Amino acid sequence: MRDTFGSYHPSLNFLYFLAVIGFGMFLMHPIFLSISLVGSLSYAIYLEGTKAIGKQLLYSIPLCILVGVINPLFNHEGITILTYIGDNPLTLESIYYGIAMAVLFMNIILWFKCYSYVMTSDKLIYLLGRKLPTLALIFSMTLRFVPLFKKQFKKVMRAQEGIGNSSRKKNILARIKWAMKVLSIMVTWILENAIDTADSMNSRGYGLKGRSSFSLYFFQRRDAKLLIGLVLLVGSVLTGVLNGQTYMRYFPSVKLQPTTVQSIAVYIAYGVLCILPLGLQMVEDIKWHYLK
Amino acid sequence: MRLKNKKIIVGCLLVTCLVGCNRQVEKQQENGSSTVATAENNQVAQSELGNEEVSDDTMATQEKVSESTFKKEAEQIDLQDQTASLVESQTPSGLVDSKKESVEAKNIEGKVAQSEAIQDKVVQDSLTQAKVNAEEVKNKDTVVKDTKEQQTVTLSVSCSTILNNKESLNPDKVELIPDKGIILSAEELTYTEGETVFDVLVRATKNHKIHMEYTGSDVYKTNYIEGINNLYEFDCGPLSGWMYRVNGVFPNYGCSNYVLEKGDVIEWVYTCDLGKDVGAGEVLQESDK
Repeated sequence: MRDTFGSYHPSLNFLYFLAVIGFGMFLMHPIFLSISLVGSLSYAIYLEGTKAIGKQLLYSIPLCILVGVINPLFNHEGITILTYIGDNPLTLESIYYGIAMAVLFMNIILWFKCYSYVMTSDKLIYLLGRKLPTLALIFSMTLRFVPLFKKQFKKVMRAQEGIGNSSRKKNILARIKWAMKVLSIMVTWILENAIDTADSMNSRGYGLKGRSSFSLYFFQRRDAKLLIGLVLLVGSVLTGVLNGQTYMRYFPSVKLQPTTVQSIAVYIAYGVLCILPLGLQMVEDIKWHYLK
Repeated sequence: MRLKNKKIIVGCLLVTCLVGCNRQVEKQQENGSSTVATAENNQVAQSELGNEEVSDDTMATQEKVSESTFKKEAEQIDLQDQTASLVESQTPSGLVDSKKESVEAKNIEGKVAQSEAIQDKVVQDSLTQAKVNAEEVKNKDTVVKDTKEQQTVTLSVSCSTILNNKESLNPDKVELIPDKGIILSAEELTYTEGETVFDVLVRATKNHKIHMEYTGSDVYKTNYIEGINNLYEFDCGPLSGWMYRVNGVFPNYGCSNYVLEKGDVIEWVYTCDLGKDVGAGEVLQESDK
C-alpha cells in the first residue's frame, strides 16, 4: 500500500504520532475519543487492510470490554447508584468511565499499529541515532521485539514438530513440559539475539563520533508546509486543552462542557489532525487520477 | 564473548529475583516476629502503656490471650466485674475512665521496660484482639440481660465542617453539599446483636439511597470509609476524610470493630483538619504522647 504521509520527512511522522498518541492518552472527552477512534481506525484499516485490522480487533475488543467491565467493579464513585456489589455501590458514572477507558485503550492500540507501520526503525534511527544512539536502538529493538518473537516462536515450534516433539500430546502434563521447553529455548534466543544485535551495531561503529550514515530523507518544501499545518493544528488543540474545552467531568456526576464556538473550533482542529494522513492520501489520489 | 555476556545478563536477572525474594522473606519474618512479640509480651506491653484508649484495648487483649492466668489473678477478676457492670450501665465514656484507673493501678505494677518500637507493634496487633474480646464480654452480658428486646441506636451523617472550608473543597463536589451540611439527620435504627457501626452505616445508606464506598484493610481488620455521598477523603484538603463518633467519643479503631451497644449515638462527621475541627484533637494528641 502506498502511503503518502509515510513519504514525508521522518521528523514530521514522529511529531504527528507524538501529538496524536499524546492527545489520545489524555483526552477523555467522548467527542474527542470518537474523533480519535474514527481517525485511528480508518488510517489503520487503510495501512494494514481490513483483514489484518479485523484480526487485531478480534483480540483487542475483548480486552477493551474487560477494561470497561473491571472499572465499575473497583470504582464506586458516582451519584447514580444502579445496584450493589457486596456493600459497595455500582454506579452509572463508573460504567461510563469504563466505556471511555475502553475506547481510549482501543485508540492507543490502533495509533500504535499505524505508528509501527509508518515509523520504520530506520526512520527512528535516522531521527535519534545521532543524539541518543542508545535510546534509539533500545526503542527500535523493543518495538521490533514482539513481531520478531512471534516469528521465531513459529520457527521453534516447527523445528520441534520436525524432530517429533509435537505439541499435540494428550497429556496435559506433557504439554506443559513441552511449553516450558519451548519457552526456555525462546528466552535463551531472545537474550542472545539482543546481545547479537547490540554487538553487531557496535562493530559497525554505531554511535561513534565521526560515523556517517546514508539516508534518503530531505526536508522539502511540502514538508515545511505540512510542518506549519501540524504546528497550527496541535497549537489550537493545545489551547483548547488549556482552556478546559476538552475537559469532561465523570465524577461525581457526568457533566459536559457547554458547546461554544470555541469548542467547536477545537473539535474541528482535532478532527483535521486525526484524519490528516488519510486526507493527504486522498489529495494525492485525486491528483494522480487527473494526471493520468 | 557472547556466552560470557549471556551469563552476566542471566546472572543479573537471578540476582534481582533473589533480592526481591529476600526482601519479601524479611518482611514476612518481621511480621511473624511482631505477632510472636504480641503473644509473649502482652503483659509487658500492658504495664508500659500509659494512654487511655490503647490501654483500654490491651486490657481486653490480655483478658483474651491468657484466660487461664486471668482467672488466677484476683485483681483482674475485679476488673472484669467492673467492666461487666459498666456494660450494663451502657456508658462507654465512663467505661473508658474506670478502665483507665485500673490500668493506672496496673502501671505501678509494671516491671519490664520495653523499647517503643515493640510497644507500637503490640498496640496495633492488640487492637483487633481487644475488640473481639470486648465483643465476647458484651455478648455474655447482654445475652443474659435482654435477649428479645428491640434494640436501637441513633445514626447521623454530617459534613458541616466543609461549610467553613469551602475554599479548599474540590470544585466538582460543591453541588453535593447539603444546605446545612447534614447528609443524614439523626434517626433510630434497630440492630441485631453483635453488629458493628459499619453494618448499621451500610444499612442506613442503602435505605436512603445515599452513596457510600469503603475498602477493607487487612492490617487493621476493619473497613475504611472512603466516601459518603460522593464526598471522599482528601476532597476538602489533604487532611480531610470521614470519622465516626459514638456517644461523643472518637474511638481510635475501625468502625467494623466497634460492636454496638443499646442506645449508642453514632455520628459520622467529615473532618477537614484531621479531626481537630470536629473535636477529636484531644484524643489524637493524647495517643500521640
